[in-house]
Amino acid sequence: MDILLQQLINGLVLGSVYALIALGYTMVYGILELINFAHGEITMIGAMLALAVITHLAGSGLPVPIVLLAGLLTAMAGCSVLGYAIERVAYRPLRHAPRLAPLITAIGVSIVLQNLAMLIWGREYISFPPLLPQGWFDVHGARVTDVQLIILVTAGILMLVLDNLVRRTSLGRAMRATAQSPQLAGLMGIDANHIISLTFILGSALAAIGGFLVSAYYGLAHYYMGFLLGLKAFSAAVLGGIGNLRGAMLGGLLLGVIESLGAGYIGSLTHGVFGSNYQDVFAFLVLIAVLIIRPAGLLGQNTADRA
Amino acid sequence: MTELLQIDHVSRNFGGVQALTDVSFAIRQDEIFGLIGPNGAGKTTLFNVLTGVLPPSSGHIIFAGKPLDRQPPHRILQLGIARTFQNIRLFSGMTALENVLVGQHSCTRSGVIGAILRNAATRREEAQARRHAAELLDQVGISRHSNTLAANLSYGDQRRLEIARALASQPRLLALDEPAAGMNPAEREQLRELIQQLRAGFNLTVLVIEHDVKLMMQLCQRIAVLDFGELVTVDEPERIRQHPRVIQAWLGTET
Amino acid sequence: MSHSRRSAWSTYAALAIGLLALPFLLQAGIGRSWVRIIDMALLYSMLALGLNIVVGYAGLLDLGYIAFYAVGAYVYALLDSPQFGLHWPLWAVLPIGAACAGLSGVLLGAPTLRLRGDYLAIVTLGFGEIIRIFLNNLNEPVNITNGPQGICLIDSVHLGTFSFSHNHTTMLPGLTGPVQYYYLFLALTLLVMFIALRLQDSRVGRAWAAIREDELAAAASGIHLRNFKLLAFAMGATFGGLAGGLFAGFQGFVSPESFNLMESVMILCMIVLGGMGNVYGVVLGAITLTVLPEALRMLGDWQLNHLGHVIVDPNDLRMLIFGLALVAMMLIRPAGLIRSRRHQREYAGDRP
Ligand SMILES: Nc1ncnc2c1ncn2[C@@H]1O[C@H](COP(=O)(O)OP(=O)(O)OP(=O)(O)O)[C@@H](O)[C@H]1O
Ligand SMILES: [Mg+2]
Repeated sequence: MDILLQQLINGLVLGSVYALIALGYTMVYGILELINFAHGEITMIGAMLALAVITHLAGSGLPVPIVLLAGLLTAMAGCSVLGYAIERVAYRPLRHAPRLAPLITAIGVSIVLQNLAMLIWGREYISFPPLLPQGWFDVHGARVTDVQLIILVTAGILMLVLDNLVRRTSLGRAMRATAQSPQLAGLMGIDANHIISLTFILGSALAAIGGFLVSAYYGLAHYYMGFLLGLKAFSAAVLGGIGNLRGAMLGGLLLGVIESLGAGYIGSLTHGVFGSNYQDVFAFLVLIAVLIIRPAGLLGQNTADRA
Repeated sequence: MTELLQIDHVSRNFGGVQALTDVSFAIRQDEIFGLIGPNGAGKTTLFNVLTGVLPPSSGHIIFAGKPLDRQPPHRILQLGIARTFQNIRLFSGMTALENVLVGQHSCTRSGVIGAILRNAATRREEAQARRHAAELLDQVGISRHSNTLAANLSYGDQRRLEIARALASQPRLLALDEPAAGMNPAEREQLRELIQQLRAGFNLTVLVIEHDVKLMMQLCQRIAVLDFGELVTVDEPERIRQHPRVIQAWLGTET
Repeated sequence: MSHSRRSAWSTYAALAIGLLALPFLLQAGIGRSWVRIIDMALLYSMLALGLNIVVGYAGLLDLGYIAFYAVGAYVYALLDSPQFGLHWPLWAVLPIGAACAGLSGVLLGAPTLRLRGDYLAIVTLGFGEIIRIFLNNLNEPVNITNGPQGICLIDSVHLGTFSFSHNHTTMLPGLTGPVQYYYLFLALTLLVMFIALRLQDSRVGRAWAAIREDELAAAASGIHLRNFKLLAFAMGATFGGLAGGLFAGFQGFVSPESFNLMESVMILCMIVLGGMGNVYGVVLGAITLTVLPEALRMLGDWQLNHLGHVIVDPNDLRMLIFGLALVAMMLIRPAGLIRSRRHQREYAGDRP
């Protein structure tokens, strides 16, 4: 088995999920210059909602794709509402407050979501019902499972759609205009509040899909999963250049690969001093390194006042 | 007369915007030097480059014989250039007196140990700093407000407080960015007198940006004119008044 | 002596007597466990006062603060337990722990402090997680931290032959371990409060406040931004390390789980609740947030006794309530709590 290729594939699969979640961070940051700290928890809620519905319908005799789709759509709808509500209640009133105020609110919202999830779904890991295809095929000695393929294809399609949405449609133009300057966009007849709400909805729906895919990949969901996932996705967004959509996609994929290769090779590189249990450290190291070396990220413009 | 400050072929651009293009002039010791120009001419940008807030894209600045290249703002202050801001930037949650105390940061020494132990040397330094701050507030005419939060001062008093804070560092060059903005004619007249008094009392050289041309004519010994980031001319007020490009550009629409 | 001076003095005297008598009253009244809770409250007060220097004074949002607590605790644990068979004296271990924490504060701060506030928050959060991951995994190939099991049998806080964990009821009735710790922690908390107050009203404190209010104006007033931010980081971390060391000796046991993100957030809650920058407020916030969950726990017992079973576990509700409190505080008084009263102004002309 080709280990390098295998790690690359695993990294890309995970990275494509990071990318989906990173898009939410980057879109919100692009418009509001706000780190939506609660985004990771929205992802977690997405996974939990999807699992709840799928588990509920698993024995109903409905065809598997319908069951999965029902779970996914419920999660997307739930998270959209959640994202919209969070922006309205917790962020909008603070739009002109000192910078750290909305960040602290966001932390508060995360804690609330996390603990609500714990109250509703308990402290235990929740496992994905055995509905997913178990097959795999061989690519040059590396193993690609059906689930991995599904994740890659879904994420790829979504990214393409989003990229075109933002570049080609009038909604995308309005979003970009608002990101440039809310006042000017207002003069051009764009309702900035409306666009901001839409951005939160879109980002949250993507996060829901991300949460669903992650829980499908690992076969598990947990009320605490949003924290690490969110941090990694945020790191990915920063790596690619926060505020930049393609940057978030690139950053997500890269981070997934870095993590996967890092975890795979750190043992032999350090002669066993560090093992793959340090996997989670890489995202932070990448984050810190990027912020120090190139705060604008890979695809961001290096303006002086970004960091 | 010796030159205190030399601006030497300074340019600065923001992306495509050329805010300063190859600007060169010198300011002499002890003079009050004016900088005028229409909105967006690059005056504030020149201040920002001078005080280390922004690096120049090219060119140099030499102050008292020393190049200021790439020096951070706090170093430039220590070398003797203090400034005020066009959009007042006081520490609004602190009292007027505290603002001036912060202004004395570079002339005082006490650190953590002194702060905790409050030994004789620290107490002496603190007492002297407070005395000096009170004097400065008195000199700019706002001593009755020394315990008022900066945010609660009137606009004119905030501008005066910014001057006091800048003076507190005992600068050789005081750079004022539109100190009369938002003042009525009577206040402007008082401000002119204040600047002249301070110049004499503190042995200062003053660099001042102002849109009020009449005020500038009375206040300054020499004036530089910037337009679209380029230096139009440097001259005495009388000659500036007659300069064709100045007349054409905006003396016709004097504020 | 004027009337008001005299009444002030009698207030202080009453307060002092109250503080001295408190552990005995608690112990006699509602049980020894409450003395331990107050001990923890004092430890948290020290921690919160340390974080307050970073967040409240200098305006730097540090979300990984608990890492410095962890450093202090593990230094104590490693130097005073069977883990390496070391049993160093307190006067060496506490300063070493505080110094290590302070040093890690500088090491973290040096590269990251030029980042803008919200980035700094995330990076410090990442740093806190990294420390925890290392504590969890540094048990192989060489066993340093004993991994997730943590280190136990840590020596109690001791001065010479006097151990703070041992009862000295023969010396004085009621002088139990928790009561002795109470006096130690009270003294240290008062010391940290004293230092914090003195720092606030000094050249250094004003420089921090200036940075918090307006970095550019602070730099233009001659303040070396990086040095003073680092100083705030280092001082805060040092207090965190000190509290951590005391915690290790007090508990006799440390494990990585005591140092997770939620602990950092808790401490942040304490200073937000108390009013950032205000020393008394911060102590009040720390005590409230330590005591409140314990009081909530009694609510659970009450349910058990009167309803037969626990309907809502107050432990689960605790963090939920904290989260809501954070949001509510920010929504109701954002500018009052983040003390920087800088309003959104048009900075266009001066912005670099
Ligand atoms: N930080 C910045 N980033 C981008 N562009 C800037 C920046 N600062 C200034 N500019 C641009 O540089 C040009 C000169 O601006 P500057 O503020 O120096 O003008 P000014 O002469 O001070 O004008 P005013 O009289 O209105 O204060 C303007 O076009 C401005 O938009
Ligand atoms: Mg200007």
